[in-house]
Amino acid sequence: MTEIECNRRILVIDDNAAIHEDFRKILCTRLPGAQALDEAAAALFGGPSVSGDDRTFELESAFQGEEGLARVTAALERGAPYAMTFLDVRMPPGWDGIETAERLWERDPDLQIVLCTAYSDYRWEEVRERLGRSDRLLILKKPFDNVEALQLADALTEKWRLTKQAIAQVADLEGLIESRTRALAQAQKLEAIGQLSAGIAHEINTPTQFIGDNVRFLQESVGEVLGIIERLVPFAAVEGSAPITAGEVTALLETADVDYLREEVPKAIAQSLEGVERISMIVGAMKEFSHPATEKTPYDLNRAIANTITVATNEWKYVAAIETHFDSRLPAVPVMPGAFNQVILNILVNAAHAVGDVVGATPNLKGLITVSTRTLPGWAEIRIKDSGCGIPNEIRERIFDPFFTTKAVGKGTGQGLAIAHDVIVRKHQGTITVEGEVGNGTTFIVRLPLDAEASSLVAAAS
Amino acid sequence: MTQKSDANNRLATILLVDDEPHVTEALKRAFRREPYEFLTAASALEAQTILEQRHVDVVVSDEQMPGLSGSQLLSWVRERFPHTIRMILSGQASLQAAVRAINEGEVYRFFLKPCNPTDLMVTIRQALATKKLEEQSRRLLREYQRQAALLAQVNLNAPELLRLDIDERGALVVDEADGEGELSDLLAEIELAMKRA
Repeated sequence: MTEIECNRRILVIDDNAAIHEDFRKILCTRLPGAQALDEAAAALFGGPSVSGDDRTFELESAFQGEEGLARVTAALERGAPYAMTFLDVRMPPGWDGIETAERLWERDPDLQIVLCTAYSDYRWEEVRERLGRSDRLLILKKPFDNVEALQLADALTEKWRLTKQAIAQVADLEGLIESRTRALAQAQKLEAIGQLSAGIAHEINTPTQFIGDNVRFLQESVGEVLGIIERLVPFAAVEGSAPITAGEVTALLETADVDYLREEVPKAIAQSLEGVERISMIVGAMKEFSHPATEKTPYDLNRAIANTITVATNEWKYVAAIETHFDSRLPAVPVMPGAFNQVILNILVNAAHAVGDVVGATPNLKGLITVSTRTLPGWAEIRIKDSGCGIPNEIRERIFDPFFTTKAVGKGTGQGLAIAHDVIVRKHQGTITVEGEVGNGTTFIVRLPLDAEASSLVAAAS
Repeated sequence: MTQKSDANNRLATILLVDDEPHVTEALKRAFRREPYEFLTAASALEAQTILEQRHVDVVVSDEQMPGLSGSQLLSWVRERFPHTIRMILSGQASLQAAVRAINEGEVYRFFLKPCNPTDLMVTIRQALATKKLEEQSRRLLREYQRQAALLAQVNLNAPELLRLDIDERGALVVDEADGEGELSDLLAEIELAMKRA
């Protein structure tokens, strides 16, 4: 937490030089009873109890309002503002105290002002009307008592410090909230990635398994075939050697189980290549999914969505089929790629969960998730529809609230849709809405604004 | 080589279950020189159908499949065919799945993909050897029980046949006077009783 230090700088603004001298005597030479006063102040304001003689005020003088303002300005500029000022009301020929106070606060709103007056130049009501009802203002009637002035100085310099401290603490707390919110968003992202990584591992491990088995089989078969070739070599090498008989050939072929190899070797190779293709596809999709750009970039949403569907394969493939209807005329849309992908992932994973709740462990039963894009005047629209259980009306209002979740403890942080809302609405000036009824599935509709150029292209095309 | 045709001569039957046929096909290829018959199923449901029709010694199942999971399938197998050896070959290292497989399916081994087919085969062989020993001990136990029952019956019908005298040193006393005759009568009697049983 930020600690604000004591500020004992006081500006006396008075056209009368004798008054300055008085203040100097009062505030810069401590009275015998000063220590008791310090202790009282410490007890009252909770500050450190310091010995009276260590603690004096830094007094500066101005003889006119204008000069006072100049000093306040200069003090602010060098980062050592005054905590308070003793301000005379009557200071001919320049500004009077009220006007000076107005101007001082314009420059330094934190300045504590004690208005010193020998006459009732202004009635309190008038002062209040001019300066407003302010807690930064006190009135000291001349002739004033020394202790009174000293106590005002003690109290108001401490008040200045406490006010600053309170402001600093609020700022600290706001900063803390900001950073916690960011951390939470990051945590949700990590959670999504963690969940994904298990699924991605599965999608990589499975082809790795059968590629390995196939290669082992090929290694063995090729070994056998090479063995046959080795045995054929002598027949070719020696000119005029006895020709190989049909019986010998048959025996050789039988050792290699030729019929079996003829059937299985091409399949083993084809399936292994397909497995390699699948692994490289998911690795490529992962790489694209975690697009590092945080700035808005024109982005091919169709491709990005197809990519996210690939990354999340393991989340949906056991419970649903996915149908995509991509509008091929959709122009590139300016989005923050990483954030956009996360939104699509969150909605997609929710859709898979909703479908999974309906399908359960029923064999051979799968739900359907339909993902479509289309171009509207000025907007790109993405619809993600699931055949899940639907969202009850009574919670529909709350689904975008942070921490709202219907998932079991540990299954969701309740951040997914809150982040989707934040990304689409706040960061992209788009809209995110939900349609559907209980028992009839849910459709999430995301609309993102096209940039001017894309809009005019779309308009020209249609 | 004619191994694929003589299924009846195989030492054991192994059922491979995975929703990805590529996985079961590739395992079959990798194991083609093994003296076992391999069956494949692409879902728990298909596996259940096969198990109800055929004798299977070992089931190796994937965990994550549409419908019933591998551990659910294996816990069903445990109940219906407790002597069938059960193993998981999972693509996902999920603690939850492993716990379920162990507790509900009482699996013999939990393998993670990608696993070396040689390791898998060595484990299958060991499991089959253990199973064979268990079956042998079960058979011997049955045999022993049958013979014990037989003896009890003989004892009931002709108690004098089984009565033995023991001298003061604990040695069996064979009555010399009765000699060979009675011993051969006894054997004939046992023979007869065993035939009746």
